[in-house]
Amino acid sequence: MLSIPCPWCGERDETEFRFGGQSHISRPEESADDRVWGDYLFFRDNPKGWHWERWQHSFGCGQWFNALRDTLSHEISATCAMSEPPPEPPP
Amino acid sequence: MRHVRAAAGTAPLSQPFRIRQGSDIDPLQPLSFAFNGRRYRGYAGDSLASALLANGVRVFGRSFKRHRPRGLFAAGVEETGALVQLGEGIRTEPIARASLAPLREGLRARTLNHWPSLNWDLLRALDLCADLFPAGFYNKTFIWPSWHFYEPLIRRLAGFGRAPPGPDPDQYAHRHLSVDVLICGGGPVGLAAALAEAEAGQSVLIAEQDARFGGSLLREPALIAGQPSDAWLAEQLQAVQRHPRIEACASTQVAGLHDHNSASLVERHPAFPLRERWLRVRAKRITVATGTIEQPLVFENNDRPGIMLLGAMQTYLRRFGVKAGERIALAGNHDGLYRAALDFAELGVPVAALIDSRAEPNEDLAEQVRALGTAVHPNAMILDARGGKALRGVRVDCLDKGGLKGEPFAIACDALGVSGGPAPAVHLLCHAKAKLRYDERLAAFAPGELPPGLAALGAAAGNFDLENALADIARPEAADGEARAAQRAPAQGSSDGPTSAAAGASGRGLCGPRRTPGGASKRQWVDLLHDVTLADLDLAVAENFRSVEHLKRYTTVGMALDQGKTSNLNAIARLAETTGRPVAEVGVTTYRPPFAPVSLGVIAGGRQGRFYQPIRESPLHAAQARLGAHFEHYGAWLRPACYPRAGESEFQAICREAGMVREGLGLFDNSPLGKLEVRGPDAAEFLDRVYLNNARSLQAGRGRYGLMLNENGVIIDDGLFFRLADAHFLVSTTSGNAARIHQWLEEWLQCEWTDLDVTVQNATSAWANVTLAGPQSRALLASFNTDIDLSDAAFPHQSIRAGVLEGLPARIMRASFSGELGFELNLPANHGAAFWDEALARGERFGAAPYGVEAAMSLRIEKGYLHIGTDTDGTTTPDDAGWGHLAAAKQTHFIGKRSLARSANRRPDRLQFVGIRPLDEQLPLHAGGHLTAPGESCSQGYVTSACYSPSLGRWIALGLLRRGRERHGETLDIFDGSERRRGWVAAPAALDPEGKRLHG
Repeated sequence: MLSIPCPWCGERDETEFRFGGQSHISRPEESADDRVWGDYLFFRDNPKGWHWERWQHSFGCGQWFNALRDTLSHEISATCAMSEPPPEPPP
Repeated sequence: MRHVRAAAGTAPLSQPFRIRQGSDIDPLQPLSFAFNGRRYRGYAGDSLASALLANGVRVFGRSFKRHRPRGLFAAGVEETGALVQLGEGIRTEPIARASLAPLREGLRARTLNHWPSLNWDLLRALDLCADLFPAGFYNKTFIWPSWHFYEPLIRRLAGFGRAPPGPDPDQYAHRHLSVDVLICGGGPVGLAAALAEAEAGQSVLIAEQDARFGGSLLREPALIAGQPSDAWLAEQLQAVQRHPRIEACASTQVAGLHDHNSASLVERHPAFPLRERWLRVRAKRITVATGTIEQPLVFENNDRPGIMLLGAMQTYLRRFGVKAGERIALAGNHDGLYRAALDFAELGVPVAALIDSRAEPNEDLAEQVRALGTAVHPNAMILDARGGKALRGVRVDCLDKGGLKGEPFAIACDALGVSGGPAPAVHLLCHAKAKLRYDERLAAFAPGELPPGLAALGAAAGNFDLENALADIARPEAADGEARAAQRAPAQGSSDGPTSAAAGASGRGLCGPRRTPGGASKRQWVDLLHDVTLADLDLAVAENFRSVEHLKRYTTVGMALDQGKTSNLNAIARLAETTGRPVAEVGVTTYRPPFAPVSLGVIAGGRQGRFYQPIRESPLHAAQARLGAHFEHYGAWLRPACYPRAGESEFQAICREAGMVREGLGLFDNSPLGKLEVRGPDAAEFLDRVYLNNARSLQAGRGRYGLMLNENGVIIDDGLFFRLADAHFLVSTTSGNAARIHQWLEEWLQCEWTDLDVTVQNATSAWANVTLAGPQSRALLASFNTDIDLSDAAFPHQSIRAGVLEGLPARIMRASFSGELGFELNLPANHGAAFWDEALARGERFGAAPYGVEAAMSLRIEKGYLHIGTDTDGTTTPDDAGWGHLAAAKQTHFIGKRSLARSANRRPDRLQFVGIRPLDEQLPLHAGGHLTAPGESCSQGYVTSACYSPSLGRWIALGLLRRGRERHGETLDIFDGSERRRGWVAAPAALDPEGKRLHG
């Protein structure tokens, strides 16, 4: 079970959180063509390594935030509020 | 029965193989127990295994595939032979390891896997035809005509033991805790590490799977810093138990290490009345000091009862005072054999012969052993074991240039202790993603690179020198946990002697071979539990299963209850040998949690029965119970399904209740209906984007039916939303969907539309909802004191009024899910029940009575009202449900709008919402039946809801049907269970399609 640092509440067990998939996906305008809209709906990155994703501390403060997680080691190197610009992944 | 006086004790010990008191048993507390119906005696502190061994029992069961007689093999989790049906009745436990079962008064156990009896097992024939059962036997044999032809017979032959006849009566619990350091293993190294960490200010949890701390010292005492280890251990244990920062858990198995230093521990019998407790631990660091697992030898008939691991033999003698036989021989490949022989002699059990596979054993030790009268055979290995249900002796040959000399000789013995050397118990380290390296010197895998926060100490780290390992812990620079002995090379062989033997055996110098040279046969076992032999492994390799993972799955080696604790290494070594690769290249299979079997009960913990999941009850629940409601689970809510009267069936009650609403008045506990408060200057804008329907144009005091879609354009919820004030809305969600929709709205506000000034609050449980439905509902409501004008003109359909009702703050909505005139009264939750009772009493003169969820469902089916999740699935769009015109009309953006324009969502042959009328009007119809063209079998849709309509006097249904909207009037077949029924397609609304009844 992961231990996830909520930017507001601190380290908590994964069971308090809800996973929201890859973050920083920009939502296309309504005028987007089918390909662009299809990419937005159905396609996500699946990297081996650092991955920006969003989590909600649903059984805590209820806030969504972004987390940078290594999909291989599960190390979480950074979190940031939804409004903050994401820092660069570690090398 | 022979009576032997204990060497040091005072009470007579009355079992033939019990020669001394042993450190674990209490001779003043005799216990009686039964094995296969025969009565025996043992002592408190015994395990079932030690008590049976003391009584001279040698055969503990029959093997899994070949039904060979099997005896006690180990003294712990790695047991392969002594697997029994433990206990009787509801608490019986199949495949219990006798060595882990504490003896108790009246315990009854039975052997497994034989027919008709343990001694005369006819299925023994399976062993005599071993040639017929090679590796991959199933895959090769049961092909024609089909596996299913053979399955019933195989199922009867296979399997081990019997499951209990009913639900588990025992109690289990979970405990969550976090510590600075978790130490896995309570041997000398683990104890010393716990003290060192605690002294450095860390909080420590130390877990030991055995009932006693002490590890290898319990079976094999040594000298530690010149002090006898018993005294040293007692001192350490006392210090550990008294230390305020250490929690020491015996009888606690570390079942798994997981991500971010979390761990699962199973504690047996933690406190009455718990049977087991699951400790879910989060540690800052984890130290693994799990010691070693002794590996066996491979030779012909190495599975005979009487052959056991040397360490087990030491355990039974030291801790339980039981000798394994009258004439004992030892065989193996390292110095530990000699130390064991010396120790045995000291306890009055001479060793007849010692067979060492090394060409150059430690001569000092060999001399000491010879001096005791033991025949020492260096450079020799066992060819074969003789005897059937009891070992009679072994045939031995000397090694010569990698082969055998060819001059075999016999050694008589009734017990043989085997030891192919200890292998570091690296399983837990692997759970935590440690890398392993193959250590040629130990002929075993040892931990290599460890992830941060994980450390290995002592024998588990490949460091078999106890003094050396303890010195490491004591050294101050080693206090930094992550730099621990993990990466240290194991101590190089030098000062040898019985004093530093604590880890169980010496790893100094190369181990001798574990497998007797010569051809592979079907009588040389590698995996005793799954009956996998050397010949099976070789056959798999010949058939090109050369990857260690393939070999495992094809032969099932290492896949039994013990997960290969004593078979993986020998199998890997054989695979390396036959494929001409180094062992390091062959590698190991993946070790996964749990380390040892874990009961399902402890995983469930307290979440059983009524605690399986939280059950929600309405604030009006007690009032419904008093009315004799039949409750059912609807999602998380326990709600009245119906209120049968005396002599009434549920069906009759539902029909009466639905008819009563149409004709007069019914009361419905609608409290679970979701109530979300949406406030803020941008609330209208936000709901306009969330709903398919227009929210901005809604006037204060009015409500509107709305559909919520997801980004794919699929309907996820529906319900009314009301505008209480300019910047204040009340959103009704489907009952049971409130939390999900709340989360959905939050996600959009927090992640996408961060510029909108809106808050969402889930107020579902703050209000009780008493719903009045039927033509008389206004009349009843008007009989109460209220400041709200209830006239049709002042309070039209789909509006909301906030005011005072009988002195209570109330929100009254004119709304209807029944198709009748209706009022939904939201009242403060703790005042709802009083109002409900009063309304019911006053309603009597209108013929009013309560109605349940089932009648509510019939009412809405009659009206063709959609129920999300029942009449819709994960593909249903607004157009499919008949609301396409709303989507087309809305100009502004809403969630899902873009997806509705995708070609897949505009296909004409989509499943569309329709009504279905069966021809047999009085025959019950069920949801789920597929719809086909008459006489055909290709599904064109399915029935989603069905009910008997008391108003129409017939069965009606709703469904999803391909191109359904253009097929009204068409005849169809309905597959209702096993029956084919005929029906026709109609509009969803079967009653009052114009909606006149809404106005009373």
